[in-house]
Amino acid sequence: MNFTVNLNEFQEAVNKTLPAIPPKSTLPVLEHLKFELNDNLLEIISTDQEITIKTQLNVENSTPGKILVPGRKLNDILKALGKTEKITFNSNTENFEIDLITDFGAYKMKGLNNDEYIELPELFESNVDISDSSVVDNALLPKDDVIRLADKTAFAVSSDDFRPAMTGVLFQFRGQFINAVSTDSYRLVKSTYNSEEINLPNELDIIIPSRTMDILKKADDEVHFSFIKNNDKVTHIKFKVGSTIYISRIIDEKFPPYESVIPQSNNIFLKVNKNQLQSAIKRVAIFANDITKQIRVKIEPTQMTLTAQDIDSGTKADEKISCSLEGEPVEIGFNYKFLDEAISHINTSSDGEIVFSLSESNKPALLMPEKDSKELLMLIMPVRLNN
Amino acid sequence: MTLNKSNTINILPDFIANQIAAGEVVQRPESVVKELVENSLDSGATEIAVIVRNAGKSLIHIIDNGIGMSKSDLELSIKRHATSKILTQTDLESIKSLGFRGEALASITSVAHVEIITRNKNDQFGHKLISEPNKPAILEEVNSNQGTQILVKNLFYNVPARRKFLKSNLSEFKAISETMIKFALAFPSKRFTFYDDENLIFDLNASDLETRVIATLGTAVKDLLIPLEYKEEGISIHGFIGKPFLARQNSSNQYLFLNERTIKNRYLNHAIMSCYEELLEEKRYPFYVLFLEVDHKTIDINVHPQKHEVKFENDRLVYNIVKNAVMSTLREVNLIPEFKIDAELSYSPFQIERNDEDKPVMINRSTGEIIERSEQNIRRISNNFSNWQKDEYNNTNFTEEINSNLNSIFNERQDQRFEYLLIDDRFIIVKELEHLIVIYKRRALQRIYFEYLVDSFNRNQTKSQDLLFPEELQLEKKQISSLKSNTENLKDFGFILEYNEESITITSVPEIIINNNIKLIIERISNNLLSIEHSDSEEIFEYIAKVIAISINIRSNENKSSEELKKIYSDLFKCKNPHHSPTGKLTTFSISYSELEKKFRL
Repeated sequence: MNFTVNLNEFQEAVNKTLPAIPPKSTLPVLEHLKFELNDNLLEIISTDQEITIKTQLNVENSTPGKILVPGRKLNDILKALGKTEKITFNSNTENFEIDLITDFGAYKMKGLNNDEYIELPELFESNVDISDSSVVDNALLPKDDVIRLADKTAFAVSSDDFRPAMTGVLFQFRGQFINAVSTDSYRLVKSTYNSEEINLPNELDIIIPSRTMDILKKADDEVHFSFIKNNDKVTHIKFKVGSTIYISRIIDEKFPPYESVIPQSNNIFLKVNKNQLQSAIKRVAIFANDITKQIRVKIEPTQMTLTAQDIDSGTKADEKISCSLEGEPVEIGFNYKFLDEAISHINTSSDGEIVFSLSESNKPALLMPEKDSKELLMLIMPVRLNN
Repeated sequence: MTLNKSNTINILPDFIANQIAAGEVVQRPESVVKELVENSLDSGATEIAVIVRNAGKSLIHIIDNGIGMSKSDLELSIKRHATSKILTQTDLESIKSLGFRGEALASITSVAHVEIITRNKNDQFGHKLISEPNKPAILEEVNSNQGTQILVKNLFYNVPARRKFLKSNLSEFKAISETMIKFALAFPSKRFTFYDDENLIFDLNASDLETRVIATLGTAVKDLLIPLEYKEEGISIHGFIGKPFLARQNSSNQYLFLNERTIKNRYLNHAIMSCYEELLEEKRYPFYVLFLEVDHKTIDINVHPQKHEVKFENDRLVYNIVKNAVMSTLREVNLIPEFKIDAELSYSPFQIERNDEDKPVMINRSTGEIIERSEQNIRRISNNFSNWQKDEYNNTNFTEEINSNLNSIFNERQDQRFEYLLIDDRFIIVKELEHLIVIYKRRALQRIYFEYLVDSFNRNQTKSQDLLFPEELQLEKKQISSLKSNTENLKDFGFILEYNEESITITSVPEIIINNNIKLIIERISNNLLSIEHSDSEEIFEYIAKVIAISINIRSNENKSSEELKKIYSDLFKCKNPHHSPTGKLTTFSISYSELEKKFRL
């Protein structure tokens, strides 16, 4: 197998397949990229058996063939070859040696026989793309919306493997809109995408692993979702971004009933400038106990006071910022990390302000870009103040 | 004698009564040794020799230089309840002598051939008594030294059942030897000589306790003993406790004496063990040789014929005093990790000792070979050795104050990047002026979390984080009830639980454990609560804190920046006991640059 290719394009293609290359695998073969070349079209596949990635690119002067290429090593050398325009790839079908040749250098590495690769289920060939006209079973989303959904939700995913449902983001497809929801039981995010028309699957709930969300965060083109079913049950999500196809296992668990924990009757509303609040939190947090990360927020009609105290080291800070309050004054404790993360994921309305909605000091607090926001809702569980 | 089926109640003949009593007092050769050595001690002997043959099964021979017995005493001595030690009821209430029941000799003579040679210090001649079970004793006048010799031959020859139950020579001998060690420890001012047939096991001259401890338990304990002296409420305790390093996997290095009598007391043992809890791993037993002096009137030792067990008037008080004694001693010595280069030391099996003429000789510890060398040569080697050891101690004794001073000097001068280094995601290396400090990251964090929990619990300041989605956890009934009975304690930590029939619902957790496997932590807490024997609330909360601290999952991608490593380092040394994790594992040690140098010189 031989080909010559534009270095930049090659770099990009290899880079796309990296998320499915495990750093250290029990199956060494998975640390390799599967190269398959036909008619000047190079197909690269990687898989860690949870996520499978297939990308394609055009090459020149090729002779067809198949080989397994050490993924990290290839990526490292391609990254380091800054200025070369073209690179030639030659592989020996007998001993699986690979030679990379540029204008000024030659690099040799050892590949593996293509036959040693694990058997990939026929996921790429499945017929899910063929639409049944009566049911929408796929979804085409603009790039920015996908990135937004992923970015808003991925940070609040639980890292506790013992609650698998929470280690992913729930996607609720509802015909005209999608809710993306994540929670780690201490906070919850719900981000919504609204389509102008009914062109989304209806009543379909799947949980997408957070690693897959990280890929979606980096989408560089519109994303075409479809679903792979087994016995009428969705087992994988497949999405195509540009010339790359991703197939990811979904988390087959029941997501907690999140709607029921979102308070509906909060009667305290607070408007505050996002940047002011965020920089105040950053300063005050320096004086908080770094184990509990607790920060107190006292809300009064025209100002809110942030207080942090660490008795161990004898530090204390408080800071006041102005706000406008609708409802009764209240005092509430938060983990400042949760508070800060939530705030930084809120895009403000034009006035630079965000809205808190509260009821009591030990009830969940809601944060949103504006009152009755349809687009984004963050919920944070408070820390009990015990004196 | 035939026991027929008649229903008449018979008074047992004396010799049978003695045999039955013997079953209680004399169970094995070791009991004979114990009873007879106690008699010797009670007779004021300053030198006692014990010779056993065939693990005491064929012969037990005790020789002492005590007061000895007169002819009439000797005749009475083998009668049951004949004792010189108690005259009245009042005496019984304040027993100071080791033996007192007057059972020993009578019991022994009913199950063995016994020969006693004795001379009272006031007599000109000694007497010899030869006794055989169920036969009248023969008494004759002999020449002898002052003191008493007793030979017990063919133990249990007439009680086959008992004989059958004797264990192998090895374990019977081990029991005797253990008893002899206990006597040796309890009475350092007396000389004990102990022979197995013709082999000398030990010959310990009168000395102070420390010398005796080292002589009986081995020179290995030498630098690891911590002297203990304590007095409270009329109870005084003295002796030695061992540094954690001396701990063993079994309790064989634990000696407790009450008024010079060796005792077994699980309760007091627990008091001592609990002080070491944080210094030792589980299932490691600390070394101790401790002597309790308690007013004889407040204890009852007449609970058990072998007198191993003791009843205290106020056992809770004694427990607390023992605990205080050990705890305060451990705190005083400020258990700093000693960076003992054990592995390195063992490369050199040579040990310098002094021989009988007080000349230094070198002993190869692995072969036992004794190498005589010219004095000069040996001195050179031994100087090297002693310097080596001195360095170890000098350089590892750092205090927090010095550290922080060094640190501040350091911060101004040194490149930050090289000050804190994380290796293999496990070890933090901190560069100081004259040494490196190596910290085991995970254990250090456990210690930090543990003390944080204890502190905030004490200040009633633990923070509780509500869960959006309460977790249900299936548990066994006893686990649930163990949690339920500690509801308040758990709440003070920040756990709010609801109890169901076969499960619990977790609605709120301490903030410190968020992002951890809450269910696992709760389950561990319940299991630990079940395993606590003595439950006072202070212990329980430390238990809970410990379980939480060691269960906190430290993610490897956290704590990587130099700033964070520095924080771990400074938090660790702010802890009360920075050198061990809550489960007693070493968290940190330091190694001086000169020690590093030495490593390259080996």
